[in-house]
Amino acid sequence: MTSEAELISGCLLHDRIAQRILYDRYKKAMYTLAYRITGDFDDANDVIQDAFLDVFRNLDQFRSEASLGAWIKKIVVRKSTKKKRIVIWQNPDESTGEIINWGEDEINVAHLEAAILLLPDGFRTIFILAEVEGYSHREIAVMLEISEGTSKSQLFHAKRKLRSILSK
Amino acid sequence: MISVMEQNKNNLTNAIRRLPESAPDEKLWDTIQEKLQEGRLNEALQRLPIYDPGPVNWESIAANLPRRRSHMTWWYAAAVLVIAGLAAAWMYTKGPDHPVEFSQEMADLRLQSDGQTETDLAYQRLESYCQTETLVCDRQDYKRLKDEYEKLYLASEQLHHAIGNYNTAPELVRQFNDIERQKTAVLNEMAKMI
Amino acid sequence: MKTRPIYITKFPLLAMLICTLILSDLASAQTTLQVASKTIEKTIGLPAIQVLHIHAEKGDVEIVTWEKPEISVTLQLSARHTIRTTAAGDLSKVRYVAERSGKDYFLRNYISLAEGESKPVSNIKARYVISIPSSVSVDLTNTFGTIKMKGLTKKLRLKADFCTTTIADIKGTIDLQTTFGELDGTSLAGVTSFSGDHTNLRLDQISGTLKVDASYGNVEILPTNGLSSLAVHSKKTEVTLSAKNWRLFNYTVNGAYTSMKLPNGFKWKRNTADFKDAFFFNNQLASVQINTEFGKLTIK
Repeated sequence: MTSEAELISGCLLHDRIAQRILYDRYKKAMYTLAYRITGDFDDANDVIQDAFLDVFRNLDQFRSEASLGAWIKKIVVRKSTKKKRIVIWQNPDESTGEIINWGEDEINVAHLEAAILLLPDGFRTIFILAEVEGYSHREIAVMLEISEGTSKSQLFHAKRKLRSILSK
Repeated sequence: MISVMEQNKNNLTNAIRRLPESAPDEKLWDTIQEKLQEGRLNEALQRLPIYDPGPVNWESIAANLPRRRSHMTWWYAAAVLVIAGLAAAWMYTKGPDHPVEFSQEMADLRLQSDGQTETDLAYQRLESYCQTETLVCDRQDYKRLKDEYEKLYLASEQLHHAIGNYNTAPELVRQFNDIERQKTAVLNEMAKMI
Repeated sequence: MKTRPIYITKFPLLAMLICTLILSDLASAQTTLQVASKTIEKTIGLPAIQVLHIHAEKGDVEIVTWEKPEISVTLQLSARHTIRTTAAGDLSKVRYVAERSGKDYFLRNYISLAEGESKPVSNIKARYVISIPSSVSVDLTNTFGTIKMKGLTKKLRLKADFCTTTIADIKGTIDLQTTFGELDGTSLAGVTSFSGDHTNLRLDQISGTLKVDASYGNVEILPTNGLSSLAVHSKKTEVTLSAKNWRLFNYTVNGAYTSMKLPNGFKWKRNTADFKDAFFFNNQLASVQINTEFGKLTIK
């Protein structure tokens, strides 16, 4: 398997094969992320196209402090929120104390996915980034240009809304 | 006869037994409960499907990427410049029908709508009560209130969409707030019945 | 000579700090928008137009009358976004119609997308400023905008959804249909009918005949002595009729599940908690008929 460093070198030389390998390696994860944030397959297609074009055009700016995948993911998140005009207004209320009861039974995955897509855009974005992609609130705050407090309270509200959708 | 070492060991064991007990912070149980609850959600999240964009996307991307440079590049660049120059001259002589003007405005963030309202969350809760309180919820007057709420909800959704991002019209926000007040009044009536 | 307030002379630094705090607070609540706009101007001369049809979306429509025998239209289409190129791109998706068909003139703004083109993300607006002869009839539809009209004398047909509407000095046949929003009418004379759903209505100095059919919202009517007939049918609406001299009209009032506040002089046919019928007859030519359900009625 081609190493990350070899891939980057090839892509910087506009080697079509290296570019294709890089794209194939990350396309599913990024497409799925874009779909989860935008809620639409067509929009996700647009986002991926835009994002990977950005990746290949700006690969010389990639610094190896983070992994290539993490770097690409940030681009995808930015493109996805821009695509859907997702704006998260600063609202760091203190609503994070309540424990949300997810019930005794196993959660049906199809229902869960449908419920996530029914969340309002802002809630869904924060939920996906925190709970599915595993970003910390600090990282989310930097990515979306919001405060950590807003990220935490939005996640809480998102989970509460998700729970109520699932319980219907 | 007990040796000195054994005596010391006994002393130590007794001393350890007499160490005071501390209770963990009360919030720790809440945290444990929360983690147990979230475990079910996390398990389900791990099983969410992954999607494949299909082959079309790569072709669109590749079509827009530069190829490795060749000596022909400079000729192509020159040709593009000539064509662009001719097009600009043509447009200049033709003239725009309605020229676009640019200016700047300040948008007040207080005129934006985040769309998510407490009333809608409260309505969801009342709806979940109706799954057990069917006697009240089947009444005509309750159903009328529900219809009224849903009509107001649709109106507020339309207003939220019209307000969009970068709204500069306070009238729309006033209407949105007015409808929220009406929704609250309807919800209060529904809640009283339940 | 005007002297400065003492807190500025005594505490200039404090005053400056307060000003800075206020300004920074205001600034933090604002963001700069790039506005791309284009303006279309039309003058429509003879042969005279009889009916002006306007179909606006998110429009701010202003119509005034003048003495000239022609119609002047200024239509400004604009797009607002924090990024200039986005605003300009979205503006190109906004189209308009401004054309004549015989004695009718049509004005319209709408969004048109090419295949695969995405919807605009900017805040789109259309602003119409129109001057017309007072004898031109107007047929106006608007959503999520504002409407101001003054001086029409022939026929007005207005359909406004989620609009803030102000009309004044209108004569002739006036047909108003609204959902949500509010409508403020001053000095309306002629045959007026209003049908509203969740609209706040206020009609001041109303004369001629008026028919109101309202659900939800508020209705406030301030008639003049020139009101010859008023018929109100309302549901879940708060209706208020305020007249300088209420005794100038004959009244028939009935309500189901309605609270009523009537001046002394009304006689009750029925007055139970749920059903109320009252009347006032003073041998007048003008009649007022009000029928309400689940609402509130005040006559004063």
